[in-house]
Amino acid sequence: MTWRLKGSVEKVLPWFIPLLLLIGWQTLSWMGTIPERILPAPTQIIVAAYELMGTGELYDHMSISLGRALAGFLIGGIIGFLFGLFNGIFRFADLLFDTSIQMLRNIPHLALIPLVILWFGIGETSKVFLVALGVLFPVYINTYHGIKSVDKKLIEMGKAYGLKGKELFFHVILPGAMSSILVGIRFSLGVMWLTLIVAETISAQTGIGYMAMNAREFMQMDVIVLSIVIYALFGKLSDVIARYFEGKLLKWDR
Amino acid sequence: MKKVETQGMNVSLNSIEKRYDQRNVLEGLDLKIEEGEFVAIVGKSGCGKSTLLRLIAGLENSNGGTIELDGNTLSGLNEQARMMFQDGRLLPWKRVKDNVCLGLSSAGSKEKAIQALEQVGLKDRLDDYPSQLSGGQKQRVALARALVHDPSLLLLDEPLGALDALTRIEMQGLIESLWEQRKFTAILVTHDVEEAVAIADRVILIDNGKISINQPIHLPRPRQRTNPDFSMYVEEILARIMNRKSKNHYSIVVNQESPIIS
Repeated sequence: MTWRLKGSVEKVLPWFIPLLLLIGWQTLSWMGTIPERILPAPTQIIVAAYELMGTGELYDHMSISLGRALAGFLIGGIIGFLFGLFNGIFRFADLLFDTSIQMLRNIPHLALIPLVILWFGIGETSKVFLVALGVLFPVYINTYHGIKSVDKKLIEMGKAYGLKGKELFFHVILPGAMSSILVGIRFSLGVMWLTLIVAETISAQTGIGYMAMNAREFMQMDVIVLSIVIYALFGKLSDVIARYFEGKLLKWDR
Repeated sequence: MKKVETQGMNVSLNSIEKRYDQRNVLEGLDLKIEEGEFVAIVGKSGCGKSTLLRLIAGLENSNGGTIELDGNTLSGLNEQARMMFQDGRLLPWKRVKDNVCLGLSSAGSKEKAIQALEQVGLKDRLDDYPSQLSGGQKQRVALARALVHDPSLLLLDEPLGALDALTRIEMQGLIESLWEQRKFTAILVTHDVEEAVAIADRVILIDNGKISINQPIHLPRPRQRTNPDFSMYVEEILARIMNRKSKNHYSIVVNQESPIIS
């Protein structure tokens, strides 16, 4: 392209369509084209958010959901990362674990919900367990693949220059696998929200998903839509965080 | 602090054999290289010249024969040698100075790296990533990375093969002058006979897993490519590689390991 966009335009343009939709939605609600019981107006959702914030309810639900997401992500992510690492580096671990992990990976983890409820009840454990399980596999696959596909020539060079063990790992293997590992983390953040939403919607007594299901009982359309908006914002937030780390860790790759 | 080791080393290869899946690459190869000597190894592609270099570096094991370094038999990695690869093999995620520091123990490593980069003329690119450098600059960094260890043996595996003609001549001059300063032993594998004649004390041709010529180059340094003797050396060696008769009136002595021109 011969023309270049100015900096300020580049910042604003991605938000143009969301803003347009929002204005259209608001206008159509005012005109009565969209009935309130089908979809409440954005202003009504803001009011609902404001009211729920006032009672402290929204904050409680949000922090509980975030806590579950984070705990599950850390547990599943760390387990997946370690397995990926060991199976990628050590042939023995690879032979011992990889086949089993590949079998488990193909079970949709959400299919385990009935089993998980019977095992752990509907408390925190079941939600964290499901998120961890969902997050584990994408992190595992990408870490494993990243380690396996580090340029063999660079590893040989590292050895020829006297690197071994820990040094070889931190200077050559891990940075070489990093871009693939970050793809896994980014993907698993999506799985994390998806799993949490499903788990909270089916069985919970707190959290955003519970808030939405509870609102359904009382036909509070504004709260239901608010929950969905919060999930969207959470999703965007985790994407921003993932991008930040990619920029930081892969700045050599331009 | 460690004593700076700038002396070269003797390398002695005794009936080296190397096979890959029943295919013989090297068959009883003998070669002696003096301390501080610059030897170039030429040959058709697939003749085993790179394999020979990797054996001397200790990156691969031979199927027979021994390699002696200053009289000690090599087993495992050759710690006193540093290899410069054709594709540079810089770590793309490390800045230039950190690439050069690779494998150095921490004390004073930064100063040594800066010094080495100064010698190859890249002192102003310390904080760049390899992706920001040209092909020739990358190879300069690779050279600095090899030399920062003060190796007594420098192994060059077609390091200039991927560079354009002008950059290549410039790099040859750089390698030659660093070798003259530091007096390490150097072994250069190349497919460019002219390069071999321009830079080496001795050119060795590998054919059928053995040494088929072992030709000292008696030309004063710095060598002029326009010198008729220079072209004669190149022509003779090329003729032998291609198995055709030389147009020159110098006779070729067919005996192994004997000079064609003396």
